[in-house]
Amino acid sequence: MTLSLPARNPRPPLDDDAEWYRKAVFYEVLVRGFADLNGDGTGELRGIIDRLDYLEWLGVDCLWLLPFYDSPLRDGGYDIADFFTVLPEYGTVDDAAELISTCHERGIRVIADLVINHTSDAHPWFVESRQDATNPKADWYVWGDDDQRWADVPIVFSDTEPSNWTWDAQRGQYYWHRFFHHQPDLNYDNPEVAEAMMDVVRYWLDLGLDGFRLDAVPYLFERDGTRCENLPETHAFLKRIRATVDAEFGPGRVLLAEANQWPADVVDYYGDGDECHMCFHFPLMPRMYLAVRRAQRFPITEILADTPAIPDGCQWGLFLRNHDELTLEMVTDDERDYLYAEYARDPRMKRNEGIARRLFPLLDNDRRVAELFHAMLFSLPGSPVLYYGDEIGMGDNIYLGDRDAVRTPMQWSPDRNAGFSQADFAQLYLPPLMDPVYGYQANNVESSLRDRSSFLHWIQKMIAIRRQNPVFGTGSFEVVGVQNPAVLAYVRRDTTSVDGTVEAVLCINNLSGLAQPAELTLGAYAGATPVEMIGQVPFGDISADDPTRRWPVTLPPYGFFWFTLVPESPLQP
Amino acid sequence: MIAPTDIDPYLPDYLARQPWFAHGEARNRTQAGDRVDVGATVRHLEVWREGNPGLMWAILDTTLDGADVGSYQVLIGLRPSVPSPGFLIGATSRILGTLAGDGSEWLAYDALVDPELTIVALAEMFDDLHGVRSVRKLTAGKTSTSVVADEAWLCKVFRRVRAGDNPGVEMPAQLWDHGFRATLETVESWRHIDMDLALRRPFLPGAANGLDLAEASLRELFASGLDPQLSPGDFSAEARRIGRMLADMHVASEHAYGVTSVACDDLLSEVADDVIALGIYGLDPETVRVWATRCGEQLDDELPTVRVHGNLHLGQLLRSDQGWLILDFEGAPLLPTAERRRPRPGWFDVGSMLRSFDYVAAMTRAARVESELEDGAVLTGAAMWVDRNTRAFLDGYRLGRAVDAAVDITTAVQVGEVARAAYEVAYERANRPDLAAIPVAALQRLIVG
Repeated sequence: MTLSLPARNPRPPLDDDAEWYRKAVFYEVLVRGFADLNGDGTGELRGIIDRLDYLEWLGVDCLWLLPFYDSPLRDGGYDIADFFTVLPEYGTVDDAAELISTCHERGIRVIADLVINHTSDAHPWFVESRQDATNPKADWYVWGDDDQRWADVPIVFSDTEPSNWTWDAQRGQYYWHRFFHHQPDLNYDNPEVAEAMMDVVRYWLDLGLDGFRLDAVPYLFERDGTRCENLPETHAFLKRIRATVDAEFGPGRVLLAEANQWPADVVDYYGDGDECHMCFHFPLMPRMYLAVRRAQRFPITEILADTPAIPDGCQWGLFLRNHDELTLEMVTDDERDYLYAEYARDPRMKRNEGIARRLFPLLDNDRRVAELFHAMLFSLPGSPVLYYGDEIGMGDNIYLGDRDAVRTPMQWSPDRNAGFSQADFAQLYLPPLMDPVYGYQANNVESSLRDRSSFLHWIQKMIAIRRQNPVFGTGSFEVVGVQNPAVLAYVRRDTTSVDGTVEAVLCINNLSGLAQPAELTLGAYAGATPVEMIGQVPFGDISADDPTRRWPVTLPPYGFFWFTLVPESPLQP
Repeated sequence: MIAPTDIDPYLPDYLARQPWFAHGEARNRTQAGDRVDVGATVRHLEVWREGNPGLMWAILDTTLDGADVGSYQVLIGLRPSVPSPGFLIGATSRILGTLAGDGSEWLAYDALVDPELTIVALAEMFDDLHGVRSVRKLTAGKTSTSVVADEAWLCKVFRRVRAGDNPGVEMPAQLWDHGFRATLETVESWRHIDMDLALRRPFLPGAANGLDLAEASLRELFASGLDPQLSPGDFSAEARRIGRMLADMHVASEHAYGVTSVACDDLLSEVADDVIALGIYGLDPETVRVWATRCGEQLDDELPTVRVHGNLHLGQLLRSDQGWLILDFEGAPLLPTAERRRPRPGWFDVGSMLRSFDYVAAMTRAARVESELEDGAVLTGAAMWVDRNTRAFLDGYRLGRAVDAAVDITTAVQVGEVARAAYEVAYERANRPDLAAIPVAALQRLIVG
C-alpha cells in the first residue's frame, strides 16, 4: 500500500557508533501482525520491508522483531521448533537477510527475539530426547523421575500451568518447564546444548542481525535450594555469549536481556560491562501507572532510587507496553491489588500476574496522559522501546485468548482488514479491532498522517527531538527538588566528548490531572535560561543573584516540559 | 564599630515580631493591635565575625508581660544600611533596627536571612560544614529555623533553647540507636554552654511534606467527584505506610525507654479535666465525666505507656524515596520539657494522627467555595476520605505492632483523639483563633456523638 508520508530528509546510513543502542529508539514489531502482502491472512517479513518508508519517517532507530522462527505457534513463536529456518508463513531466511540489509540502507538496525531457555516440544531435539533415556539428546532437556524437585519455584503462567513439571509417557519421566508445558527447558549443564546455542547466535549475526533480545534469561540453570533464577551459572553462560559475540563480530552488536526481576538483581545481567548491553527495567513501568493514579511522584522516584548504577556502556530498556501483559510481578501485593482495581475493572483483563491491555485503553484513551507517559519514556534514563500500534493509539480486544488481546493486526487504513491484508476476513490470524473508539475505521495510520494534530505526528516530533539531543540517552540523571508531590522534575546532563561542553536538559512532569505550580531548586544552573525544546521558546532565567530563589513554573493537567538549560557561560563539568 | 550592647534596646521589639518567640503569641497580639511587654536580657554573647558584614551570636533570657518565657538563640547580622541588602526586601520583620556607628548607619538583622553570614554561622556551629557554597532558608518553624546547605544538609537552628538535653535531639538519636530508621539521621549536633543548639541532617531534595501530599489527595478527590477509592490521588497506601512507621517507632521507643504504666482512672480524669477546662458549649463537666467513665469501663485498670512522639501530625512527616520519615521530635510546643517526656499510651500518637487526617480534610474543605459545599458532595467526600485513610492507617499500625488484645482499640484511640483535640483547642485559641472551630467540633463529635 502507498502511504502519503510528509516529505523529510532521508536518514543518514548506519553510523559506526558502537554504543548506538544507548541513544536509539526501539520499535517492537509483531511479524505476524504488521503487514500481509501475500494475502494469506498472516503478516510476513516482506510486509515489514514494504512498510519501511513509514518506520523511517517515524524515526525509529532499531526494529525488534518478535520470534519469526519455525514454530507451532502455541506461544506466539516463543516455542521454537527450528532455530535455523523462518516460519514458512513469515517467509524465508533470504527474506530475513533482505529485511536486515534494506533496514541498514535506511540507517535502521534490526534485533530479533531469541529464546534460549527452552524450545517447542516439536523441536527435533526434544522429539529425540523424549524417546528414551539413552539417546544422544537424552540429556539435552531437564528430566526427573518425580515432580517434587524444586517445588518452591514459582509458576509463571499460573493461569494455565499447574506445575513446572509435566509427565512424558513416552520416556516415562517428568520434564521441567518454566513456561508452558509445551516448552521444555533446555539443559545448559550439558556443554553440547551450550555449543548448539552458540551456533544459533553465530548464524543470525552472520546474516547481519544487530543483536538479540534474549527471552527469559534468568532461568537457564536449575539448582537445589534455590528459586532456579539468576544463578551464577546463568551469568557465566551469558558472559560466554557476550565474549563470543565481541570476539567474532566486533563491537556494535547488542544483547538485550529480558529479566523480569528487581533492579538490584537485574543489574547482575550487565556483569562488569561484560554480559548484556541492555536489560529491560520491568518495575518502572507499572509504577508509572501507579504514579499517575496516585497523582504523586514517589512510586517512580522510589524505584529509581532503588536502581543501582550500571556499568559504562550499558543501558536500560524502557517501555510502556509490550506484546505481553502489563506484568505486575515486580510490585507489592498491595500495589498489585490497587493496579488491578484501577486498570483491570473487568476480570477478563487480567492475565497471569498482569493486565492484558494496550496503552490507550489503560489510560482511558486520554491523549494528555499518553503524551505525558511518552515524555517520561523518552526522558527517563534508558532507551525507549515502542510497541507497534501504540503510536496511533491502538486499542485491544480482551475477549481474545491469552495475550492475543494486544496482538491484533496493525491498523494502516480504513480499508478492508485495516489495510493489513487482502485476505478473506475469516482467514486473518486475528480479527482487527472494529469497535467505535479504537477500531480501524476511526483509528489508523492513514488517517493519523492526514490529521496534523494526531498523536502520531506528535510522537514523530518527539522522537526527532530526542534524536537531536543524545543527552536523553547518555546523560546522568539528577532529581530536582520540588515541594509539590505531584510534580516529577529531573535534569539529564552530559559532558560531550567533542569539546567538553556540558549539555543539560530539564524535564518537568505533572502527574496530576489538575494544573500544578512547581518551584524548582536549580542552584547548580543559576543564570541559565531554560529554553523549551519543542518550540525553542526561552523562559525566564534561573536567578543568578539570589541562589535561594527557586525557579517557578506552572504545568497544565498532565503537562510536561522539556527545557534545554542554556548557560550564561558554558557549564562546568 | 557597633558595640554588642548597642543592639540591646532593639531586642524586645524584634522578639515580639518572631513566629518562634513564645509560640507566636506576642506576634499575634501585636498584629491584632494589642500592646505586649517583652523583656530580653543577654545571657551569653559572642562576636563571630568583626567588620562588614558583622555577625553576633547570643542567648537571651526573656519575659512576656513580666512572666518568664524561657531562653532564645539569636544570630544578629550587621551591614551598612546603604546600599540596602537585597535579601532584606520583604523581610522587614527580620530587622532589629538601624544603629549609628563609625560615622555611618548600620542595619542589625536576623543573620539567617543573609546567605553570606549563614555560611559563616554554619561553619561556627558544625565541624564539617566549612566551605559551604550555597544556603537556602526554609520557612521558619515554631521553635526553630531550618537552613539547607549546598542542597545536601538540613541544618536546624533551635530558637527556644534549654539547658540539658533537648528532646528534639535526644529522642531521634535514641530511637536511631534502637533500630528506628524512619527519621533523618542526625549527622552532627552542636552543643554549646550545656545546651543543644543546632542539628545537621541530610537534606532529601526529592522529599515532600505529608501535609502537601494529603492536601493534594483531597484536591484530586474534590475535582473528580468520585468515591475516594476510585479517585485519582488516593492517599490510603500512604496512610497505611504511616501507620506501619508509627508502630515501628513505638516498638523502638519501648526498647529505648522501657514500658511503664498509668492508672486508667488517673489518665481519664486528667483528659476529662483538660476538656472541661476549655469550657466548650455542650461539654459541661457532667457530660465529659460520663464519657470518661464509659471509656474506663472498656479499658484495663492499668494501661501500658511508652515515650511517645507527642506532637504527631502530617506536617511533621516527610515522604521520601525511603518511605515516610518523622521530621522532628520536640514534642508539643505548649508543654514544658518534663511534660513532653512523660510516658503516654502509644495510642495517644495514633489518636493524634487521626486528628491530623480530620484537620487536613476540614481545612481543605474550608478552602472550597460556598456553592460547592452546598451540594454536599465535598462534605461527604471529605468525610469518606478521613474514614478511608483512618482505616488504612490503623491497619498499617496493627501490622507493625501487636496491640494488646485486652484493650478495646476503638475506645483507646478515641481517648487519644480527645486528648489531642483538647490540646488543639488550647493551641488554636492562642495562635489561630479562626481554626479553633475544627478541634471544638471534633471534641463535640467524639464525646457527645
